[in-house]
Amino acid sequence: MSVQATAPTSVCAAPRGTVEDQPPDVVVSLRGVQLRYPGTDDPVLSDVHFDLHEGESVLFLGPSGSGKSTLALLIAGLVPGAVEAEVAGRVWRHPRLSEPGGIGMVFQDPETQLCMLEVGDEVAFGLENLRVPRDEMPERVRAALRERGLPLDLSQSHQHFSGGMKQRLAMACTRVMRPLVMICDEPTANLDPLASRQVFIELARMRQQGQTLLVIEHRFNPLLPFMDRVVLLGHDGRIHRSGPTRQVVAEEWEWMKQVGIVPPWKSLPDMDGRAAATPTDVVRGRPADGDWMPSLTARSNDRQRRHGQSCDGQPQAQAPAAVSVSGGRLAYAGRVVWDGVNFTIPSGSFTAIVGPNGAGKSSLLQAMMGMVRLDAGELNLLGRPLPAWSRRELVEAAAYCFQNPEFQFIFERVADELANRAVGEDVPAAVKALLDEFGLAGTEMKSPFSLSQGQKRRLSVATMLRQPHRLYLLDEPTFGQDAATQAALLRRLGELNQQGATIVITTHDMELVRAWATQVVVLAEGSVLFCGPPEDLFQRPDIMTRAHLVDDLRPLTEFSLQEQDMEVPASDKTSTHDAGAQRACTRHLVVDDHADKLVRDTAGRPAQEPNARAGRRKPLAARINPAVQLLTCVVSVCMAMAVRSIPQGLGLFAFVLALMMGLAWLSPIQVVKRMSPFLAFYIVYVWTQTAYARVAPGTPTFQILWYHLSWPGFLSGLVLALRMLSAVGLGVYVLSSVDVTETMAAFCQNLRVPPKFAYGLLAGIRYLPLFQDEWTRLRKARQLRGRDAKVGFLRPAVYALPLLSQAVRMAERAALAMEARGFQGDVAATAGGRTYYRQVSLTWRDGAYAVGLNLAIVALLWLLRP
Amino acid sequence: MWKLRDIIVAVVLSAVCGAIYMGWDWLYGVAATGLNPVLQAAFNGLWWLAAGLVPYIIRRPGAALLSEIASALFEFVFGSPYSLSAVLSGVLQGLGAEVGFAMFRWRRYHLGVMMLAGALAGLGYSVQAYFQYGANSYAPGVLAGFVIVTMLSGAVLGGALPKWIGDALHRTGSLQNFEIARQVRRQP
Repeated sequence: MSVQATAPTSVCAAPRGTVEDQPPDVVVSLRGVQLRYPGTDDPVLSDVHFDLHEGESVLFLGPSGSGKSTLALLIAGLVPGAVEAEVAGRVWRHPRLSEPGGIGMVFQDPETQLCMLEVGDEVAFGLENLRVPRDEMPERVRAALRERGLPLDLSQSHQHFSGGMKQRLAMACTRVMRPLVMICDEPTANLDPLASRQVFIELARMRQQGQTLLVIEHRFNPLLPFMDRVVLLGHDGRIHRSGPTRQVVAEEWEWMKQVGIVPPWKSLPDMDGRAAATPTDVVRGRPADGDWMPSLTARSNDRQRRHGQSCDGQPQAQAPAAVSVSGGRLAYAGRVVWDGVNFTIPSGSFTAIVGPNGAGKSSLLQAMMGMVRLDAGELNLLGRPLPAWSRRELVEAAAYCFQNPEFQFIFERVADELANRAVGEDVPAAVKALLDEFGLAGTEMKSPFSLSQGQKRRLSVATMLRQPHRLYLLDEPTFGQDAATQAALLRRLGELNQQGATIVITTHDMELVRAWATQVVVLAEGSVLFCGPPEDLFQRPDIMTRAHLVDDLRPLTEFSLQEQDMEVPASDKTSTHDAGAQRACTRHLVVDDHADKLVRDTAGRPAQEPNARAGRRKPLAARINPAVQLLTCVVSVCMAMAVRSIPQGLGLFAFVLALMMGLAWLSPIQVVKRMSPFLAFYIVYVWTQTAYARVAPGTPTFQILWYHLSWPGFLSGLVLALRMLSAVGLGVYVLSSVDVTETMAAFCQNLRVPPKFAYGLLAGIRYLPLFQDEWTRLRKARQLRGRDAKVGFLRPAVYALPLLSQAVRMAERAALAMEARGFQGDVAATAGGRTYYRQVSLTWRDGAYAVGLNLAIVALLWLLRP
Repeated sequence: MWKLRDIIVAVVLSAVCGAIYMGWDWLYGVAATGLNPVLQAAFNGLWWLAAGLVPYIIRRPGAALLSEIASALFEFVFGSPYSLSAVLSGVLQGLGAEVGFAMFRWRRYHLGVMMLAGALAGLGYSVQAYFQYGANSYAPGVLAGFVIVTMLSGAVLGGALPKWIGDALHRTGSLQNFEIARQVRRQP
């Protein structure tokens, strides 16, 4: 809607006179395309010529900032449109691509591309946008889930799925729409190696199912055998080269290292996956001949010479260990994350902590900094027990770097951030030097939040390096970074290590471990599975498998495409399998995020209510149309304002109690539990009225300090409190009888609310549990820099900015993902423009209920009138 | 014209505001106990933070009303002691603020407009306070003081504060795709 075509040529979404130029199988054709975002000077894409053919699979590679994602969004038709941009040149897209579901997109963040609460609604969302009749939906939804090896219950909540499961669900959500082209924009960027591998397998499978695929991926090695063509983009947003995968990757490997597509320590992958792999190789991590990282032999010799020690608790070096843990145990809310943890990190080592998502790696790192307290066991830091350290000494000796660099920013300008104080216009020379060293020159007056991902990470590391430390702890320092930033970062850490500092990182990148670490600690299954030199770890396939450590170097093979089936039995095998075993198997994948889940569970989000559609008889209140139910009760609250006397107040409150127990089937215990927190609150009301109510002259008052307490005031306070308690009761009644998804559906179907408002609200609701996590992390980060709010209730003010900017970015990504699933135009704007997976009925009964309930309240208040 | 991104950002910000309201409910319960109603009124403005913040960022007709209702719904769901009455407050406060923005045809969002909208939201809330929360029984002088202080509090906490937050957020560069940034770009 905001296409501002700058001459010379215009953008056309439909073929215009040039159709005959297109070979029949071309679905997208770009000629001399240039693209610029408003408010920026340099174009993101320049002079792009590109054709996409039906049935082919294309891999886009380029350093960060080369416009890969923009190019994908342009092809998807989301730029310009959902995101504003100026486009010049000729863009031809197959007319089917502009229809809802013509393009399927999978994005990198598993959290922001799902927009509903349950699996069935989620997959059906795309079908609703395609206006598929309701009757066909369940079968198509089940088929799409089956195709991705996800035998899930449709009414299951996907909130606690692991990242890998969420990505596969997102793929099912796009495939169910049968898109002409499927675009995957770094789908594994946030996943651990095992989950990444599952996603890669699904990509390869979709390729085999004939899906036209366009993939952007940093860790692309496993995919190479399944990609027909590679397009290389340079820093300037121009296409450097495009051609058959094998040839281009082999010939341009050095160029790819130069521009930072691959880190310099990586060697050319073996692309003959089909020939090389045998079944045992797939299960183990590494082929027998270990000659694929020859460049590292020298380094590993050096490594052996410097730190040839074991780590079973007896450091062989003379210097005290940097960190040693014995009998370490950590539990959240009574559940053990890890226990019996024993290991030693030798002074001067480069140690990597690896393991599956949710194994508690970050917690272990945080425990070393005293941010997380061990429930049992001892932790020695630089030869001294942790409790003996004062916070100031600790912050001087050790530095900690969070996974999300934003959490570390506490100033509004980069220069202040680096100086750790507001420096005004005169930037100190030391700060300038740091800026130059980290490639941040020119950004000193900008907001740290406005920097690119790579710049943010470099800034967070730069602040950490402001003063020298003996120990550096970094949580996933290369996470989400392009190869150039990774290389710069590791080079710097390597230097520090050479100078004698101890480096401890957590990571998922086994290649990084292979190239840089002198010691590796494997944390999995609630304990330390391995501690020793990386070379030894790679000889232990049993441990690698148990800890979900998969070698990314290894390309996928035809054989490995069957792996997925072994992990999650497909639905059609259900009948022959023991159902319990299958559930256990699915569960294993679902709950591999268990530490994350723990945080969320303990953060106070109530466990999902058992689904109301499970076939049991529902209480009467839950059978009322939920939108009617909500509005009826709001009206009832207004009526409650008419309560003027204690009998009226008591009468209404009794009526509401009857509703809760009679229609919503709440037990008396549940009622008391839910109402009791509010009781105390209303004492305030009684007091305010007792002390301040206007009283007739001559009414006796009771004097305490400067208050004039009166009996009539006390009575009117009681009336008020009863009025409010009735409102609370009605609130509990509504909440216990409506399902949020169904309420939204009712607002669209029955009250004709535009779907974008209803579905937008639902998508927003999904983020509530995520905020809790962000909040916890933010608090730790501030404490670490000694900048946490001194008083608890001031925290909201201090945390507002990073939390809000994160929220805005998540919301933007979510909106983009929903639009990419066809939630655009009429489908989103008018209630009649789509079909609905959830059918909510509105009958005369609902009307009778609404009128009857409120008439009953009127009658009650009239009967009890003073 | 509302875009989907406007709606989701409005919802997410409303959720944050709803959580803030909830905290404020309980804080008020503790800190304002026994205060004179006129002093208590000074707390009020923060309860329509969303009615200033969201319109200031997305700048659409109806933003103040819808976001205030949404944030009140969140406040209710999070367990506010005011329960469903909070939703009613949301409607009245949102209407007040919306009138303020409508008077400038949803085109101007400078400090004066923001404070006016915040004050009018306070007027909207005073209606509810009169009928539901017992302000009708205050002595006339106390009642007048209550309304005036509520409006002042609205102008500051519900008008100037959200503007300040919105500007700070804009400086972080995360609002490039929203009306606030577009209007700043248009007038160099």
